[in-house]
Amino acid sequence: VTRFFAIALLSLAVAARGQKPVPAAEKAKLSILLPPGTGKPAQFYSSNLYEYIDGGAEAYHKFNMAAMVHREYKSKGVDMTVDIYDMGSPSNASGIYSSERSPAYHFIPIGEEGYSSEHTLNFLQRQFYVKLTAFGDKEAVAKMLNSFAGTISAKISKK
Amino acid sequence: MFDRRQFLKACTAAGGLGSLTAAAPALSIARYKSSPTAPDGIAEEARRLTRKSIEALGGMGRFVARNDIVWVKPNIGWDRAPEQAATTNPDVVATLVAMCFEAGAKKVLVSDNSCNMAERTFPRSGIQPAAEKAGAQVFFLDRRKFRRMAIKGKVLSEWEIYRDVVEANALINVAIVKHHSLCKLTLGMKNLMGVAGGERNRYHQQIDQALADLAAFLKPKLVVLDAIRVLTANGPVGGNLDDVKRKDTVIAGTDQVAVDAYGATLMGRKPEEIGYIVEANARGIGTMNFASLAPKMLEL
Repeated sequence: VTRFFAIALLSLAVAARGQKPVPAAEKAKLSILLPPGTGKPAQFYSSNLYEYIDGGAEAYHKFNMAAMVHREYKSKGVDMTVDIYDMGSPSNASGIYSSERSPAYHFIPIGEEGYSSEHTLNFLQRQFYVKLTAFGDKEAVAKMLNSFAGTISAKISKK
Repeated sequence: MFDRRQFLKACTAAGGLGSLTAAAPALSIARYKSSPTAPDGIAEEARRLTRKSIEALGGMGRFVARNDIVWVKPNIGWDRAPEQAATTNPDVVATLVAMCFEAGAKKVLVSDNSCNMAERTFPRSGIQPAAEKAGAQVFFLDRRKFRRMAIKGKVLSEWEIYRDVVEANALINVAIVKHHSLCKLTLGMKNLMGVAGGERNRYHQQIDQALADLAAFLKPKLVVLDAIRVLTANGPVGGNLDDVKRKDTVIAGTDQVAVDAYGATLMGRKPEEIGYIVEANARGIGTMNFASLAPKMLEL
């Protein structure tokens, strides 16, 4: 009985903060969306996202971010980072994506909607908000951004 | 927003373009007439605007004495290239370093408690190579050197501050002007968070008071705002070049509230809209009525 009440209280506390607990199995699943690489993926949650984007995490809290996986890549002179946010639901993902996009951006056909610029490619697909950043030779960067976005999008479709 | 007409009007009120008065002013605003796009042109613009804005305050010798150890604090927080306008322009930083040495500094230290990995942000921002070339010691912060210090502020009674910053003879705060999702704008006072340690998100609910506490405690001798490129949306991280606009301006001053107040106008905001400017103004840390300081206006 005590355990039941403890769990109920914990659930209420979490719900009151507007954050859903992330099941351990779900945490593991997020990293399978990453393209293969040698760098170790890092996972962030609502509680510690500030360690990665201090000052920018609040916007993700507002849309009930469940988890984020981050991995760095180096290939053919290009440095790339991949951030995949699991927002818990398509409507939350759409919310954070929409809050960051501008009609002036260069939109590209990827996922539900996406856009790119010289160093970045961001897109929305199901409950995921995918953000890619790359530096290096301009042509190589564009090629790698598009290739990685395609791989991640296909993985999300299969999930 | 301070447009070109208002700028010229203020120039006239302040005594004409480029004129220097005997009394050292508390605020100078240097604007480039053109907006070069080639990397060399932007670097030259950054060097000239920085140098002229400091000279208009009376020169670096006003802030740095012979054999001083100077801490120059840019924004090196993000894994972003200079054109993405999330970090301070590297040539602005390097020019300040060079001017510190010209004024007789023994050592110039450049660092920041970066949000993304310092191994990536320091070189990517261009600040590490540029500042090192100018003679600065650029290094990643050593976690063991944060000390719990008595801030005695409204919300920060104590906080972890990097020891060497408070032990330096002079602190020069050099921030980029950019959008910030939490504070609306990042300006000079917000940039001071980069010498604080611990769980920096702990005071996000009272960020305006916390920033005013830090500003009152750290008291930089000189504040410089880089508004050559500004990030207009999705800050502090940014990334998309479509969010970057040119303002071709460098602001320098001794009144950190006035510097930030003018910086806010460049982003189309009134100083009254930025909580930490209002808080710092109310506490008398400086004045958000920047015009009252008769800023030295320069057009190059």
